[in-house]
Amino acid sequence: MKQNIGSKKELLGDYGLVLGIEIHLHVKTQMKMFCGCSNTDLFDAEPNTRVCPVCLGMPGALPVPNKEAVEKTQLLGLALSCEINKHSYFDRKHYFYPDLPKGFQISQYKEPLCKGGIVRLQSGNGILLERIHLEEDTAKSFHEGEETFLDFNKSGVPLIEMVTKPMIYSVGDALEFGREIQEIVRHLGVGDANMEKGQFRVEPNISLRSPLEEKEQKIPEYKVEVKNINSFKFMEKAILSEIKRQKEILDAGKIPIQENRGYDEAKGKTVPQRSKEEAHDYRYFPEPDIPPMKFTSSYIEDLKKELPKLPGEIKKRLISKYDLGQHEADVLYNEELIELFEETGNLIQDYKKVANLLVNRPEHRDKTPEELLSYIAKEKSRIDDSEALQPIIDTVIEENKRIADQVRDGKEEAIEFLIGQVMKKTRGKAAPKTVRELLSEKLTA
Amino acid sequence: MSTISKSTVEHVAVLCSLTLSEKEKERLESMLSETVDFIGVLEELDTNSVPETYQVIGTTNVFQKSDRVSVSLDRKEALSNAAKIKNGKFVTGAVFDR
Ligand SMILES: [Zn+2]
Repeated sequence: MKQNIGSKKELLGDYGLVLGIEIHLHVKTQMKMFCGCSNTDLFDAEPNTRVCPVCLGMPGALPVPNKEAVEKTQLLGLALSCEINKHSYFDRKHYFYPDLPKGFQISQYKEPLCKGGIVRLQSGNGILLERIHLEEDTAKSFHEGEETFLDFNKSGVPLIEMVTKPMIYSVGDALEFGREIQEIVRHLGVGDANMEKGQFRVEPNISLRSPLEEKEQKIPEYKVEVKNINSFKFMEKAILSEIKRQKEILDAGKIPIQENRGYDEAKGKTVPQRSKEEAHDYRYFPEPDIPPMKFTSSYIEDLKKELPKLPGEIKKRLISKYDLGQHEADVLYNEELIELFEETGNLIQDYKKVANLLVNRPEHRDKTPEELLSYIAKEKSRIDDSEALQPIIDTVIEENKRIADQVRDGKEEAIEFLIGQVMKKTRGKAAPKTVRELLSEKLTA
Repeated sequence: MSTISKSTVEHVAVLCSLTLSEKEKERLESMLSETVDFIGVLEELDTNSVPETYQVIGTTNVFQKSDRVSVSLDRKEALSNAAKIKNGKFVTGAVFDR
Protein backbone atom coordinates (compact mmCIF):
# COMPACT_ATOMS: atom_id res chain seq x y z
CA MET A 1 0.00 0.00 0.00
CA LYS A 2 1.44 3.35 -1.02
CA GLN A 3 1.29 6.06 1.61
CA ASN A 4 1.78 9.73 1.11
CA ILE A 5 4.39 10.41 3.72
CA GLY A 6 6.09 13.49 2.36
CA SER A 7 9.14 13.49 0.19
CA LYS A 8 12.07 11.44 1.39
CA LYS A 9 14.43 14.37 1.17
CA GLU A 10 12.20 16.65 3.20
CA LEU A 11 11.86 14.04 5.91
CA LEU A 12 15.38 12.68 6.16
CA GLY A 13 17.70 15.24 4.61
CA ASP A 14 20.86 13.36 3.65
CA TYR A 15 20.34 10.62 6.24
CA GLY A 16 19.23 7.10 5.37
CA LEU A 17 16.57 5.38 7.45
CA VAL A 18 17.30 1.92 8.90
CA LEU A 19 14.44 -0.02 10.48
CA GLY A 20 14.13 -3.42 12.06
CA ILE A 21 10.80 -4.72 13.27
CA GLU A 22 9.86 -6.99 16.12
CA ILE A 23 6.33 -8.40 16.14
CA HIS A 24 4.61 -10.15 19.05
CA LEU A 25 1.34 -11.90 18.32
CA HIS A 26 -1.12 -14.03 20.26
CA VAL A 27 -1.63 -17.52 18.91
CA LYS A 28 -5.26 -18.59 18.65
CA THR A 29 -5.50 -21.87 20.56
CA GLN A 30 -7.97 -23.75 22.75
CA MET A 31 -5.67 -23.68 25.76
CA LYS A 32 -2.91 -21.43 27.04
CA MET A 33 0.75 -22.12 26.28
CA PHE A 34 1.74 -24.25 29.27
CA CYS A 35 -1.48 -24.99 31.16
CA GLY A 36 -5.07 -26.10 30.60
CA CYS A 37 -6.65 -22.67 31.12
CA SER A 38 -8.96 -21.68 28.28
CA ASN A 39 -7.49 -19.28 25.72
CA THR A 40 -10.75 -18.28 24.03
CA ASP A 41 -12.52 -14.90 24.48
CA LEU A 42 -9.98 -13.84 27.08
CA PHE A 43 -10.52 -10.18 26.29
CA ASP A 44 -14.07 -10.26 27.69
CA ALA A 45 -13.39 -12.43 30.73
CA GLU A 46 -13.54 -10.99 34.26
CA PRO A 47 -10.05 -10.30 35.71
CA ASN A 48 -8.24 -13.34 37.16
CA THR A 49 -10.89 -15.90 36.18
CA ARG A 50 -8.76 -17.79 33.62
CA VAL A 51 -5.86 -18.63 35.88
CA CYS A 52 -4.27 -21.66 37.51
CA PRO A 53 -1.11 -22.42 39.50
CA VAL A 54 0.94 -22.67 36.26
CA CYS A 55 -0.01 -19.30 34.74
CA LEU A 56 -0.01 -17.59 38.14
CA GLY A 57 3.63 -18.70 38.41
CA MET A 58 3.21 -20.62 41.64
CA PRO A 59 6.17 -22.63 42.95
CA GLY A 60 6.10 -26.30 41.99
CA ALA A 61 3.62 -25.97 39.13
CA LEU A 62 4.61 -27.95 36.04
CA PRO A 63 4.39 -26.27 32.62
CA VAL A 64 3.47 -28.58 29.71
CA PRO A 65 3.71 -27.10 26.20
CA ASN A 66 0.75 -26.75 23.86
CA LYS A 67 1.12 -28.70 20.59
CA GLU A 68 -1.44 -26.55 18.77
CA ALA A 69 0.63 -23.42 19.47
CA VAL A 70 3.82 -25.15 18.33
CA GLU A 71 2.20 -26.30 15.07
CA LYS A 72 0.72 -22.89 14.32
CA THR A 73 4.11 -21.24 14.87
CA GLN A 74 5.70 -23.72 12.47
CA LEU A 75 2.89 -23.19 9.94
CA LEU A 76 3.58 -19.44 10.02
CA GLY A 77 7.28 -20.21 9.64
CA LEU A 78 6.60 -22.33 6.55
CA ALA A 79 4.42 -19.61 5.05
CA LEU A 80 7.34 -17.18 5.45
CA SER A 81 9.91 -19.61 4.00
CA CYS A 82 11.67 -20.16 7.33
CA GLU A 83 13.75 -23.19 8.09
CA ILE A 84 11.89 -25.34 10.63
CA ASN A 85 14.31 -26.49 13.32
CA LYS A 86 14.24 -30.25 13.77
CA HIS A 87 15.48 -29.82 17.30
CA SER A 88 14.05 -27.07 19.44
CA TYR A 89 13.56 -26.34 23.13
CA PHE A 90 12.41 -23.70 25.60
CA ASP A 91 14.66 -21.44 27.68
CA ARG A 92 14.06 -19.43 30.81
CA LYS A 93 14.48 -15.69 30.39
CA HIS A 94 14.90 -14.03 33.78
CA TYR A 95 13.74 -10.65 34.82
CA PHE A 96 12.04 -9.21 37.83
CA TYR A 97 8.65 -7.62 37.37
CA PRO A 98 5.23 -8.16 38.99
CA ASP A 99 3.60 -9.28 35.71
CA LEU A 100 5.94 -12.29 35.84
CA PRO A 101 5.79 -13.60 39.41
CA LYS A 102 7.88 -16.72 38.86
CA GLY A 103 10.83 -14.48 37.96
CA PHE A 104 11.35 -15.81 34.44
CA GLN A 105 9.46 -16.06 31.19
CA ILE A 106 9.46 -19.37 29.34
CA SER A 107 10.75 -18.38 25.94
CA GLN A 108 13.16 -19.64 23.29
CA TYR A 109 16.73 -18.50 22.85
CA LYS A 110 19.25 -20.84 21.23
CA GLU A 111 17.01 -23.13 19.20
CA PRO A 112 13.83 -21.28 18.16
CA LEU A 113 11.12 -23.19 16.26
CA CYS A 114 11.90 -21.31 13.02
CA LYS A 115 15.06 -19.73 11.59
CA GLY A 116 15.47 -17.25 8.75
CA GLY A 117 12.55 -16.54 6.40
CA ILE A 118 11.60 -13.79 4.00
CA VAL A 119 8.66 -11.50 3.23
CA ARG A 120 8.38 -10.13 -0.31
CA LEU A 121 6.92 -6.65 -0.62
CA GLN A 122 5.06 -5.31 -3.66
CA SER A 123 8.09 -3.20 -4.57
CA GLY A 124 10.04 -6.44 -4.97
CA ASN A 125 12.09 -5.71 -1.83
CA GLY A 126 12.59 -8.81 0.29
CA ILE A 127 12.62 -8.39 4.08
CA LEU A 128 14.70 -11.09 5.77
CA LEU A 129 13.64 -12.54 9.11
CA GLU A 130 16.10 -13.51 11.85
CA ARG A 131 13.84 -16.03 13.55
CA ILE A 132 10.37 -16.88 14.81
CA HIS A 133 10.01 -18.28 18.30
CA LEU A 134 7.29 -19.18 20.78
CA GLU A 135 6.94 -17.95 24.36
CA GLU A 136 4.33 -17.14 27.00
CA ASP A 137 2.75 -13.72 27.42
CA THR A 138 2.85 -12.04 30.84
CA ALA A 139 0.04 -10.68 33.01
CA LYS A 140 -1.59 -7.35 32.26
CA SER A 141 -0.62 -4.53 34.58
CA PHE A 142 -2.51 -1.31 35.17
CA HIS A 143 -0.71 1.59 36.79
CA GLU A 144 -2.66 3.94 38.97
CA GLY A 145 -1.01 6.41 41.33
CA GLU A 146 1.03 4.57 43.93
CA GLU A 147 -0.33 1.17 42.99
CA THR A 148 -0.07 -1.38 40.19
CA PHE A 149 -2.96 -3.78 39.53
CA LEU A 150 -2.51 -7.20 37.97
CA ASP A 151 -4.82 -9.39 35.92
CA PHE A 152 -3.36 -12.79 35.04
CA ASN A 153 -5.90 -13.83 32.37
CA LYS A 154 -3.36 -12.91 29.67
CA SER A 155 -0.49 -14.58 31.53
CA GLY A 156 0.52 -17.73 29.69
CA VAL A 157 -1.19 -16.92 26.39
CA PRO A 158 0.96 -18.39 23.59
CA LEU A 159 2.95 -15.57 22.06
CA ILE A 160 4.91 -15.67 18.80
CA GLU A 161 7.90 -13.36 18.50
CA MET A 162 9.22 -12.52 15.07
CA VAL A 163 12.29 -10.40 14.39
CA THR A 164 13.47 -8.94 11.07
CA LYS A 165 16.99 -8.04 10.11
CA PRO A 166 17.55 -4.26 10.19
CA MET A 167 16.99 -3.92 6.47
CA ILE A 168 13.81 -1.91 6.03
CA TYR A 169 14.65 1.46 4.55
CA SER A 170 11.34 3.32 4.26
CA VAL A 171 8.28 4.00 6.37
CA GLY A 172 6.08 2.68 3.55
CA ASP A 173 7.93 -0.67 3.50
CA ALA A 174 7.65 -0.93 7.29
CA LEU A 175 3.89 -0.42 7.16
CA GLU A 176 3.48 -2.83 4.28
CA PHE A 177 5.55 -5.44 6.10
CA GLY A 178 3.41 -5.13 9.24
CA ARG A 179 0.14 -5.33 7.32
CA GLU A 180 1.36 -8.23 5.24
CA ILE A 181 2.28 -10.27 8.34
CA GLN A 182 -1.06 -9.40 9.94
CA GLU A 183 -2.90 -10.56 6.82
CA ILE A 184 -0.95 -13.83 6.62
CA VAL A 185 -1.46 -14.56 10.34
CA ARG A 186 -5.23 -14.13 9.95
CA HIS A 187 -5.34 -16.05 6.70
CA LEU A 188 -3.57 -19.05 8.24
CA GLY A 189 -5.79 -18.95 11.33
CA VAL A 190 -2.66 -18.55 13.48
CA GLY A 191 -4.19 -15.58 15.31
CA ASP A 192 -6.84 -12.84 15.17
CA ALA A 193 -4.08 -10.20 15.20
CA ASN A 194 -6.31 -7.45 16.58
CA MET A 195 -3.97 -4.60 17.47
CA GLU A 196 -6.38 -2.79 19.76
CA LYS A 197 -6.84 -5.94 21.83
CA GLY A 198 -3.06 -6.32 22.13
CA GLN A 199 -3.07 -9.48 20.03
CA PHE A 200 -0.63 -8.01 17.51
CA ARG A 201 2.11 -5.69 18.74
CA VAL A 202 4.63 -4.08 16.45
CA GLU A 203 7.86 -2.61 17.79
CA PRO A 204 10.04 -0.83 15.26
CA ASN A 205 13.67 -0.12 16.06
CA ILE A 206 14.78 2.99 14.33
CA SER A 207 18.10 4.60 13.45
CA LEU A 208 19.49 7.00 10.87
CA ARG A 209 22.79 6.69 9.04
CA SER A 210 25.04 9.08 7.18
CA PRO A 211 25.42 8.90 3.38
CA LEU A 212 28.88 7.33 3.96
CA GLU A 213 27.47 4.63 6.27
CA GLU A 214 24.72 4.03 3.73
CA LYS A 215 27.25 3.64 0.93
CA GLU A 216 29.28 1.18 2.99
CA GLN A 217 26.10 -0.71 4.00
CA LYS A 218 26.92 -0.10 7.67
CA ILE A 219 24.31 -0.49 10.38
CA PRO A 220 24.33 2.52 12.75
CA GLU A 221 25.89 1.99 16.17
CA TYR A 222 22.69 2.89 18.02
CA LYS A 223 19.03 2.03 17.70
CA VAL A 224 15.89 3.27 19.39
CA GLU A 225 13.12 0.78 20.02
CA VAL A 226 9.58 2.16 20.16
CA LYS A 227 6.95 0.32 22.18
CA ASN A 228 3.25 0.81 23.05
CA ILE A 229 2.05 0.95 19.45
CA ASN A 230 -1.49 -0.32 18.97
CA SER A 231 -2.29 0.67 15.39
CA PHE A 232 -0.49 1.10 12.07
CA LYS A 233 -1.48 4.75 12.07
CA PHE A 234 0.41 5.26 15.35
CA MET A 235 3.30 3.19 14.04
CA GLU A 236 3.65 5.58 11.12
CA LYS A 237 3.39 8.62 13.40
CA ALA A 238 5.87 7.15 15.88
CA ILE A 239 8.48 6.45 13.18
CA LEU A 240 8.04 9.91 11.63
CA SER A 241 8.38 11.70 14.96
CA GLU A 242 11.38 9.54 15.87
CA ILE A 243 13.10 10.39 12.55
CA LYS A 244 12.61 14.08 13.27
CA ARG A 245 14.00 13.75 16.81
CA GLN A 246 17.05 11.72 15.78
CA LYS A 247 17.79 14.00 12.84
CA GLU A 248 17.95 17.02 15.16
CA ILE A 249 20.39 15.22 17.47
CA LEU A 250 22.59 14.09 14.56
CA ASP A 251 22.48 17.55 12.97
CA ALA A 252 23.86 18.91 16.25
CA GLY A 253 26.80 16.52 15.88
CA LYS A 254 25.67 14.13 18.60
CA ILE A 255 24.54 10.49 18.55
CA PRO A 256 21.11 9.51 19.91
CA ILE A 257 21.15 7.33 23.03
CA GLN A 258 20.29 3.67 22.53
CA GLU A 259 17.09 3.25 24.51
CA ASN A 260 13.47 2.12 24.59
CA ARG A 261 10.88 4.79 24.00
CA GLY A 262 7.11 4.63 24.15
CA TYR A 263 4.72 6.32 21.75
CA ASP A 264 2.59 8.89 23.55
CA GLU A 265 -0.63 9.32 21.58
CA ALA A 266 -1.61 12.54 23.32
CA LYS A 267 1.74 14.23 22.68
CA GLY A 268 2.05 12.70 19.19
CA LYS A 269 5.68 11.80 19.85
CA THR A 270 7.90 9.24 21.53
CA VAL A 271 8.98 9.62 25.15
CA PRO A 272 11.77 7.79 26.99
CA GLN A 273 10.71 4.73 28.97
CA ARG A 274 12.26 4.54 32.36
CA SER A 275 14.09 1.28 32.78
CA LYS A 276 17.17 0.01 34.50
CA GLU A 277 20.11 -0.70 32.21
CA GLU A 278 20.95 -3.89 34.06
CA ALA A 279 17.54 -5.30 33.22
CA HIS A 280 19.01 -6.79 30.04
CA ASP A 281 20.96 -9.42 31.93
CA TYR A 282 18.42 -12.18 31.23
CA ARG A 283 20.56 -15.18 32.29
CA TYR A 284 18.97 -17.52 29.74
CA PHE A 285 19.23 -21.25 30.36
CA PRO A 286 17.27 -24.26 29.09
CA GLU A 287 13.93 -24.80 30.85
CA PRO A 288 14.61 -28.02 32.80
CA ASP A 289 10.90 -28.74 33.35
CA ILE A 290 10.16 -29.18 29.64
CA PRO A 291 11.77 -31.97 27.57
CA PRO A 292 13.13 -30.87 24.18
CA MET A 293 11.09 -31.17 20.98
CA LYS A 294 12.17 -33.17 17.96
CA PHE A 295 10.52 -32.96 14.55
CA THR A 296 11.01 -35.39 11.68
CA SER A 297 11.23 -34.45 8.00
CA SER A 298 7.97 -36.25 7.33
CA TYR A 299 6.20 -34.27 10.06
CA ILE A 300 7.42 -31.04 8.47
CA GLU A 301 6.38 -32.26 5.00
CA ASP A 302 2.88 -33.06 6.29
CA LEU A 303 2.61 -29.61 7.83
CA LYS A 304 3.61 -28.07 4.51
CA LYS A 305 0.65 -29.81 2.88
CA GLU A 306 -1.69 -28.05 5.32
CA LEU A 307 -0.41 -24.67 4.17
CA PRO A 308 -3.15 -22.80 2.27
CA LYS A 309 -2.33 -20.44 -0.59
CA LEU A 310 -1.18 -17.09 0.75
CA PRO A 311 -3.00 -13.79 0.12
CA GLY A 312 -0.12 -12.52 -2.03
CA GLU A 313 -0.24 -15.62 -4.26
CA ILE A 314 -4.03 -15.45 -4.56
CA LYS A 315 -3.89 -11.81 -5.69
CA LYS A 316 -1.02 -12.50 -8.07
CA ARG A 317 -3.11 -15.24 -9.72
CA LEU A 318 -6.09 -12.87 -10.14
CA ILE A 319 -3.87 -10.20 -11.68
CA SER A 320 -2.22 -12.48 -14.23
CA LYS A 321 -5.18 -14.73 -15.04
CA TYR A 322 -7.82 -12.03 -15.50
CA ASP A 323 -5.62 -9.05 -16.34
CA LEU A 324 -6.70 -7.08 -13.25
CA GLY A 325 -4.88 -4.25 -11.48
CA GLN A 326 -3.39 -4.51 -7.95
CA HIS A 327 -6.19 -2.39 -6.49
CA GLU A 328 -8.93 -4.59 -7.98
CA ALA A 329 -7.17 -7.71 -6.71
CA ASP A 330 -6.78 -6.16 -3.23
CA VAL A 331 -10.49 -5.27 -3.00
CA LEU A 332 -11.71 -8.62 -4.32
CA TYR A 333 -9.48 -10.40 -1.78
CA ASN A 334 -10.16 -8.13 1.21
CA GLU A 335 -13.94 -8.08 0.68
CA GLU A 336 -14.04 -11.87 0.11
CA LEU A 337 -15.48 -11.45 -3.38
CA ILE A 338 -13.19 -13.78 -5.33
CA GLU A 339 -15.68 -16.65 -5.61
CA LEU A 340 -18.50 -14.35 -6.74
CA PHE A 341 -16.13 -12.62 -9.16
CA GLU A 342 -14.97 -15.85 -10.79
CA GLU A 343 -18.43 -17.46 -11.04
CA THR A 344 -19.98 -14.35 -12.55
CA GLY A 345 -17.01 -13.86 -14.85
CA ASN A 346 -17.36 -17.46 -16.07
CA LEU A 347 -21.06 -16.83 -16.79
CA ILE A 348 -20.64 -13.71 -18.89
CA GLN A 349 -17.05 -14.14 -20.06
CA ASP A 350 -16.15 -10.55 -19.28
CA TYR A 351 -13.95 -10.58 -16.17
CA LYS A 352 -12.86 -6.97 -16.42
CA LYS A 353 -16.47 -5.76 -16.36
CA VAL A 354 -17.40 -7.92 -13.35
CA ALA A 355 -14.30 -6.78 -11.46
CA ASN A 356 -15.13 -3.14 -12.17
CA LEU A 357 -18.67 -3.55 -10.97
CA LEU A 358 -17.75 -5.37 -7.74
CA VAL A 359 -14.87 -3.05 -6.90
CA ASN A 360 -16.55 0.28 -7.65
CA ARG A 361 -20.17 -0.46 -6.78
CA PRO A 362 -20.34 -2.09 -3.33
CA GLU A 363 -24.17 -2.22 -3.52
CA HIS A 364 -23.88 -5.17 -5.95
CA ARG A 365 -21.73 -7.34 -3.70
CA ASP A 366 -24.62 -9.19 -2.05
CA LYS A 367 -26.07 -10.42 -5.36
CA THR A 368 -25.84 -13.94 -6.77
CA PRO A 369 -23.89 -14.54 -10.01
CA GLU A 370 -27.25 -14.91 -11.85
CA GLU A 371 -28.53 -11.58 -10.51
CA LEU A 372 -25.29 -9.91 -11.52
CA LEU A 373 -25.57 -11.50 -14.97
CA SER A 374 -29.06 -10.06 -15.57
CA TYR A 375 -27.99 -6.69 -14.16
CA ILE A 376 -25.02 -6.52 -16.50
CA ALA A 377 -27.14 -7.65 -19.47
CA LYS A 378 -29.58 -4.81 -18.75
CA GLU A 379 -26.69 -2.36 -18.41
CA LYS A 380 -25.37 -3.46 -21.77
CA SER A 381 -28.66 -2.64 -23.54
CA ARG A 382 -28.61 0.83 -21.95
CA ILE A 383 -28.66 3.82 -24.20
CA ASP A 384 -25.72 5.68 -22.83
CA ASP A 385 -24.28 7.65 -25.71
CA SER A 386 -25.25 11.25 -26.06
CA GLU A 387 -25.65 11.10 -29.82
CA ALA A 388 -28.46 8.58 -29.54
CA LEU A 389 -30.07 10.44 -26.63
CA GLN A 390 -29.82 13.97 -28.00
CA PRO A 391 -32.83 13.79 -30.41
CA ILE A 392 -35.03 12.23 -27.73
CA ILE A 393 -34.06 14.96 -25.27
CA ASP A 394 -34.81 17.66 -27.84
CA THR A 395 -38.27 16.15 -28.39
CA VAL A 396 -39.01 16.03 -24.66
CA ILE A 397 -37.99 19.68 -24.22
CA GLU A 398 -40.15 20.63 -27.22
CA GLU A 399 -43.16 18.79 -25.78
CA ASN A 400 -42.73 20.24 -22.28
CA LYS A 401 -41.82 23.86 -22.85
CA ARG A 402 -43.30 25.16 -19.60
CA ILE A 403 -41.41 22.69 -17.44
CA ALA A 404 -38.21 23.33 -19.40
CA ASP A 405 -38.62 27.05 -18.72
CA GLN A 406 -38.95 26.35 -15.00
CA VAL A 407 -35.60 24.53 -15.10
CA ARG A 408 -34.10 27.47 -17.00
CA ASP A 409 -35.41 29.77 -14.24
CA GLY A 410 -33.50 27.74 -11.67
CA LYS A 411 -36.21 25.42 -10.37
CA GLU A 412 -33.90 22.45 -10.20
CA GLU A 413 -36.38 19.79 -9.10
CA ALA A 414 -38.36 20.31 -12.33
CA ILE A 415 -35.58 18.47 -14.15
CA GLU A 416 -36.75 15.18 -12.56
CA PHE A 417 -39.96 15.34 -14.57
CA LEU A 418 -38.05 15.77 -17.83
CA ILE A 419 -35.73 12.85 -16.96
CA GLY A 420 -38.86 10.79 -16.35
CA GLN A 421 -40.18 11.65 -19.78
CA VAL A 422 -36.94 10.60 -21.48
CA MET A 423 -36.98 7.31 -19.53
CA LYS A 424 -40.55 6.74 -20.66
CA LYS A 425 -39.70 7.33 -24.31
CA THR A 426 -36.73 4.95 -24.16
CA ARG A 427 -38.74 2.39 -22.16
CA GLY A 428 -36.30 2.67 -19.28
CA LYS A 429 -33.21 1.98 -21.31
CA ALA A 430 -31.62 5.44 -21.11
CA ALA A 431 -28.87 5.90 -18.55
CA PRO A 432 -30.40 8.38 -16.08
CA LYS A 433 -27.05 9.94 -15.17
CA THR A 434 -26.27 10.77 -18.81
CA VAL A 435 -29.79 12.08 -19.41
CA ARG A 436 -29.47 14.40 -16.42
CA GLU A 437 -26.13 15.71 -17.64
CA LEU A 438 -27.42 16.33 -21.16
CA LEU A 439 -30.58 18.06 -19.93
CA SER A 440 -28.84 20.40 -17.55
CA GLU A 441 -26.21 21.17 -20.16
CA LYS A 442 -28.97 22.14 -22.52
CA LEU A 443 -31.14 24.09 -20.08
CA THR A 444 -28.76 25.81 -17.72
CA ALA A 445 -25.93 26.68 -20.11
CA MET B 1 39.53 -16.29 48.94
CA SER B 2 36.59 -14.27 47.80
CA THR B 3 35.29 -15.19 44.31
CA ILE B 4 32.35 -12.78 44.47
CA SER B 5 33.11 -9.07 44.38
CA LYS B 6 31.03 -6.33 45.94
CA SER B 7 30.00 -5.09 42.50
CA THR B 8 28.66 -8.57 41.64
CA VAL B 9 26.58 -8.53 44.82
CA GLU B 10 25.22 -5.12 43.85
CA HIS B 11 24.42 -6.30 40.32
CA VAL B 12 22.58 -9.39 41.57
CA ALA B 13 20.67 -7.23 44.04
CA VAL B 14 19.46 -5.02 41.20
CA LEU B 15 18.35 -8.07 39.19
CA CYS B 16 16.41 -9.35 42.20
CA SER B 17 15.01 -5.91 42.94
CA LEU B 18 16.51 -5.98 46.45
CA THR B 19 17.73 -2.96 48.39
CA LEU B 20 20.76 -3.86 50.49
CA SER B 21 22.54 -1.94 53.23
CA GLU B 22 26.36 -1.69 53.16
CA LYS B 23 26.51 -4.18 56.00
CA GLU B 24 24.27 -6.67 54.17
CA LYS B 25 26.37 -6.31 51.03
CA GLU B 26 29.51 -7.20 53.01
CA ARG B 27 27.82 -10.18 54.60
CA LEU B 28 26.46 -11.45 51.28
CA GLU B 29 29.83 -10.98 49.60
CA SER B 30 31.39 -13.54 51.91
CA MET B 31 28.31 -15.81 52.03
CA LEU B 32 27.94 -15.99 48.26
CA SER B 33 31.68 -16.52 47.85
CA GLU B 34 31.52 -19.42 50.28
CA THR B 35 28.61 -20.96 48.36
CA VAL B 36 30.30 -20.61 44.99
CA ASP B 37 33.55 -21.99 46.37
CA PHE B 38 31.67 -24.98 47.77
CA ILE B 39 30.19 -25.78 44.37
CA GLY B 40 33.62 -25.14 42.91
CA VAL B 41 34.58 -28.56 44.26
CA LEU B 42 33.06 -29.91 41.03
CA GLU B 43 35.87 -28.24 39.11
CA GLU B 44 38.13 -31.02 40.39
CA LEU B 45 36.30 -33.48 38.10
CA ASP B 46 37.51 -33.91 34.53
CA THR B 47 34.33 -33.29 32.52
CA ASN B 48 35.98 -32.89 29.10
CA SER B 49 34.33 -36.01 27.68
CA VAL B 50 30.92 -35.38 29.27
CA PRO B 51 28.44 -33.59 26.99
CA GLU B 52 26.43 -30.72 28.48
CA THR B 53 22.79 -31.43 29.21
CA TYR B 54 19.85 -29.98 31.08
CA GLN B 55 17.74 -33.09 30.84
CA VAL B 56 18.68 -36.62 31.79
CA ILE B 57 15.49 -38.66 31.37
CA GLY B 58 15.63 -38.68 27.56
CA THR B 59 11.96 -37.95 26.83
CA THR B 60 11.00 -35.65 23.95
CA ASN B 61 7.81 -34.06 22.64
CA VAL B 62 5.79 -34.02 25.83
CA PHE B 63 2.66 -31.98 25.09
CA GLN B 64 -0.66 -31.14 26.79
CA LYS B 65 -3.53 -33.55 26.43
CA SER B 66 -6.14 -31.71 24.42
CA ASP B 67 -9.01 -32.84 26.67
CA ARG B 68 -7.58 -31.01 29.65
CA VAL B 69 -9.17 -27.62 28.97
CA SER B 70 -10.19 -25.52 31.93
CA VAL B 71 -8.52 -26.48 35.10
CA SER B 72 -8.70 -22.83 36.14
CA LEU B 73 -9.11 -21.85 39.75
CA ASP B 74 -12.08 -19.80 40.79
CA ARG B 75 -11.14 -16.20 41.39
CA LYS B 76 -11.49 -16.29 45.15
CA GLU B 77 -9.05 -19.16 45.33
CA ALA B 78 -6.67 -17.55 42.83
CA LEU B 79 -6.51 -14.38 44.90
CA SER B 80 -6.44 -16.10 48.28
CA ASN B 81 -2.70 -15.58 48.87
CA ALA B 82 -2.62 -11.96 47.71
CA ALA B 83 -1.48 -9.37 50.24
CA LYS B 84 -3.84 -6.83 48.71
CA ILE B 85 -6.78 -7.15 46.29
CA LYS B 86 -8.88 -4.55 44.51
CA ASN B 87 -11.65 -5.11 41.94
CA GLY B 88 -10.65 -8.70 41.37
CA LYS B 89 -7.00 -7.79 40.74
CA PHE B 90 -3.76 -8.28 42.63
CA VAL B 91 -2.31 -5.02 43.94
CA THR B 92 1.40 -4.24 44.30
CA GLY B 93 3.40 -1.09 44.90
CA ALA B 94 3.77 1.20 41.87
CA VAL B 95 6.20 0.00 39.23
CA PHE B 96 7.08 1.76 36.05
CA ASP B 97 6.37 0.60 32.54
CA ARG B 98 8.88 -1.62 30.85
ZN1 LIG C 1 -3.41 -21.52 33.66
